[in-house]
Amino acid sequence: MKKTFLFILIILLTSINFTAKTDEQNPLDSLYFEDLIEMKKNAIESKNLLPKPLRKRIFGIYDKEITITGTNVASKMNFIFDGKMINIRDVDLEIKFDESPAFMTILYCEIEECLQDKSENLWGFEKNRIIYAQGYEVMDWSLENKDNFNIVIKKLRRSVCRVYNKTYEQDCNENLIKIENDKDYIKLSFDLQDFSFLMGKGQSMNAKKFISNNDIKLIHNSKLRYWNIRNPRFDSAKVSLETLSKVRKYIVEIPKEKKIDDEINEEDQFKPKILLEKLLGVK
Amino acid sequence: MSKFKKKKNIRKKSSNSLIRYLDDHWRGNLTLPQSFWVNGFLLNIVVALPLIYAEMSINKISETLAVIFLVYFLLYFIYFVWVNIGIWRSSGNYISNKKKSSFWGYAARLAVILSVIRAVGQSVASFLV
Repeated sequence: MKKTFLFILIILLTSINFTAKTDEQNPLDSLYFEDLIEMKKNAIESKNLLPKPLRKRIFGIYDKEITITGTNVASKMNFIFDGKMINIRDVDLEIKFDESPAFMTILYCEIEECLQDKSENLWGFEKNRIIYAQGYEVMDWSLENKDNFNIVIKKLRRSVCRVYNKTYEQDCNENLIKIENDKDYIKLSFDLQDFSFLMGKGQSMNAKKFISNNDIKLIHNSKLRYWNIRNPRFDSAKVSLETLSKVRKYIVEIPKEKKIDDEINEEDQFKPKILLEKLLGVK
Repeated sequence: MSKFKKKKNIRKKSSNSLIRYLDDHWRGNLTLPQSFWVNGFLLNIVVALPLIYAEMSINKISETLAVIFLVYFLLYFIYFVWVNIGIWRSSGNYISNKKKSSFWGYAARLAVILSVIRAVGQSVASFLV
């Protein structure tokens, strides 16, 4: 009797577990939730040094080129960043890897996301939904591995303005991205929690400062502060925003050995409050 | 003599008398009641007040304030050494004075020993826990 009960219990428990797993997987996603979690683990454990799966699947780094394509879900702006590296290992070694110019394209669409995976497209964006595209030559940029994986652009100039809807011709010419002085910069920050990007200008990372003319026709969302830029590589791989938000919520636990190392380092730090507590005998 | 010079002299005299007072206590030249009750008891209450405040509001104070209190604690430690050595020496003088009963001298020394044991014990215990 006991054995039968135990058997039923095991069956029930495994079936609950199975159901939970299938719930996590959006049927439209072509990248599995477990794979994404594995990628997140890799990224966090390697402390933002871009492990190989991420290099290939998110940044598309196969050889010496780095291409990041993103869209801002809150505005109607999209971007493509394209640069060449001297050496693929430079990404891991946290070295400034490119002296040669990169290229950035900012696209404005009629709808927030005009990404698609059909053959009739321009850089992966739906051609008939693009209003205009501005091309910028990036003369000074570097990689930074501080809190996140960042690309810092320090110098750029507009080189092309391609208008798809003639009504917006003036906007395309006037609504320019500028870097004001030596201290100013544009930062593209990669968030390991859900593989999204944050794009902003200067220390405040204020998105509204990113463009000089906040045309209401283009940016309608008044709450927009940061550019939460999603990687469209997932769109071509078909990963829904819901799945990405689940990935964000999933907490990656750092292995014990690493945790102990961190705790030792923490103990080495001088903490005046704790010392004072001990000297005063506060329990 | 000008007013300025007079003021300067007064300031010099007062700082000299303070140094002399500190030195007299340190050498045990003050009377035992003065050393024990004035320097060891009343002055201790005044000097320890900021530390009592620190102890009470340890959870609220900032790290910067904690550093300031740590420096103050160091000054308190200097006071603690100064006051106890002064009382110890003063009680030695009291005991050696044949005209008086040596009881209060020994009592003061016992109080010094107990306060040192308490301070050391408390510090060791809080660092071990």
